[in-house]
Amino acid sequence: MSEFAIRAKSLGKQYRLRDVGGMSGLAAKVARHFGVTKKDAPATHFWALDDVSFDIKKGEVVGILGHNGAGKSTLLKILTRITNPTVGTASVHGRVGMLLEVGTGFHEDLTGQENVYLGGAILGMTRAEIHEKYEDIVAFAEMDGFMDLAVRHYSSGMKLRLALSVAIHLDAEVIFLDEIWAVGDHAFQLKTWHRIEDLIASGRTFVIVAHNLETIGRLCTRCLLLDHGRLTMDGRPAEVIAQYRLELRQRSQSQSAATDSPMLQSIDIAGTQLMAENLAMGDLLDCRITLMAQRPGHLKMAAMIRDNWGKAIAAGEAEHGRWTSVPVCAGRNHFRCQLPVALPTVGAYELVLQIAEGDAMITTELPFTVVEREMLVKDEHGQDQAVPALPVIWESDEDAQAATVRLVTSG
Amino acid sequence: MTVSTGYEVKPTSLLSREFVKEIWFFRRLIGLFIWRDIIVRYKNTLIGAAWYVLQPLAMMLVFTVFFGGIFSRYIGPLPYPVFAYGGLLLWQLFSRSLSLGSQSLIYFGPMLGKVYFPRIIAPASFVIGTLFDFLITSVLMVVLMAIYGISPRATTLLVPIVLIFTLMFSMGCGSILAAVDARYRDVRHAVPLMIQVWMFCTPVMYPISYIPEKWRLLYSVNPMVGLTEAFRWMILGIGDPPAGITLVMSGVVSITMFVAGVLFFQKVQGTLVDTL
Repeated sequence: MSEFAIRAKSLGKQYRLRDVGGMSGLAAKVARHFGVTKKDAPATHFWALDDVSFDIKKGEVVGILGHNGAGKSTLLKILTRITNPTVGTASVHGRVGMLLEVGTGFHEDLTGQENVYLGGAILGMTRAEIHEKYEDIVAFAEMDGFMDLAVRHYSSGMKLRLALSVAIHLDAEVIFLDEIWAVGDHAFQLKTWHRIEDLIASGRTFVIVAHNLETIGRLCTRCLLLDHGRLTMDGRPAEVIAQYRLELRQRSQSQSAATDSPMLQSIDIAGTQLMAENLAMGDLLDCRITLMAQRPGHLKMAAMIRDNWGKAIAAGEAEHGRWTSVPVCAGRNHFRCQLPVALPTVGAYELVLQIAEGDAMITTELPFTVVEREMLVKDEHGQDQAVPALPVIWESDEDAQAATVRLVTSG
Repeated sequence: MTVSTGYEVKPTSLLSREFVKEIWFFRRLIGLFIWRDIIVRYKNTLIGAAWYVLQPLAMMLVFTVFFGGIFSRYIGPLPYPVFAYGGLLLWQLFSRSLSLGSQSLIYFGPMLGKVYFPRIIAPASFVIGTLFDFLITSVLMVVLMAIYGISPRATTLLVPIVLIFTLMFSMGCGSILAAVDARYRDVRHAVPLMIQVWMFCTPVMYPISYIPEKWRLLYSVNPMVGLTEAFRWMILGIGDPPAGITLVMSGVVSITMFVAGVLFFQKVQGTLVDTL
């Protein structure tokens, strides 16, 4: 038996961008053939993964870091055979488990039980294996009593818990993990992490893609850093994470050098920090920004949120539209930006801070994860129902109380 | 077993012993997908199975009203409705399996992007699943034969041969169409038209004797010609025994298409999800 769990040799993946001119497939080909579109149209291919090689020994826990679009998902898709590489080879030794996007293959019209059997089979479990673990799967997902109900009546949290529970009970030796920390409430997440830590302790090999640097730092024994499809660093987690944080900062700095705004060139983003990286619906994204400026002036600031694929999905609205003008003094400036988390689904996002003067702009990205918290309430039939939790504040109303006291004492 | 002990990742996947082992490992998945589709279909419809009988029944009635008079004299004493339904029964199996097979990657698309199983399971489970519809539509055939007092024939036992050839042929065509559709969406628009035209080029509503002798060989290049004629001979005893060149040709074309379709699908399957 090989001592390696995964060996990747010069893996490369080339994607074709959507053909030029808004035409798809055949139409574009015909158009090119007849010279309707120019032959020297811009390149329509790009390498999402470029010459990536590494060996992972059995029992290693490897984290993969990189910006959105750096090739993390592509690498995982190739290693799990969802798509083939354009060049290069890889071998995976041992039974493979995938916790990529949970809920795969669940059908809304089937019951929870039927879905467990189908979902397990899709992951490669035998019928006997699912049968043997069925009770554990239901217990882990905390779904006792709901298994004869069609999945369409489940809350989104219940669906994810059940799907995750199926996946986590697959006896795999090599496990690929991507964005699962968003499932369930805090207690369920803890339970999931305990289970994953048990699996790690029992010598399973893990490949983890995460935006959450804390998690990576805590669990991994080694990290790979990807940048524009290339493997730029391979080493101890602390060092790779430090390098990644540095790159995150440099990314915004390099953009500032290209601008022709004297004000922007005179500033330096000394630090940006999200007060919390795991947030639930209704929480406030709380960001602190420190700017070093060489001269006083005015800057415009805006914030928006991008999803895991780099698509803008929400933007902050301030008093006068998207942009807020702020005065900057020479020296150190501290800013604070807050906006509520109201995003459609759990998962990885990034907060994009934009700082501009005129048309010139610099941006900086801060990754965060939206998790789901649930509360149980009674529905109209007195049955428990899981609904999303929203933060609520209860306090005594001091002003009204004071007025009442005045009324009583004066009357 | 290959799946439980690891695998190799390469730019193109070719037919190999690994592939056969893998299909064997995942064989249960084909059954589960068929079972899922049947369950879901019956959970969501009021009259469930009846829909699958209604379609060939309605077509049989239309054929009888409009073409019954024209074609009756070519088919001898057999009542035209029974003749037409016999043809439609097999045609329904072919057209459904071809159209579902060619659309299989559209339905399986989201799942294929998230989890690995041999991609050919998608068209295969759809194509094989149409056998269930075939069984249901066959019930009406039995009813029709009882109504017209036609006694069952021993040759009916040979029907599985025709069914296997039919499904091999539609699996071959369906896999190619599904794979091409992943790249060029034109396929999904072309298939319904193709199936419609194809039916008129197949002796479904008329017997092969309606086609002039000198065109028969060319006409029989369409494997559904030989299969439909053989099928009707097996259940109703009409036409010539399928010993002739037509059935041999149908078999050869079916097997060739099946092998070509599976090979083509295997060649491109590794990157199908990139364009889905």
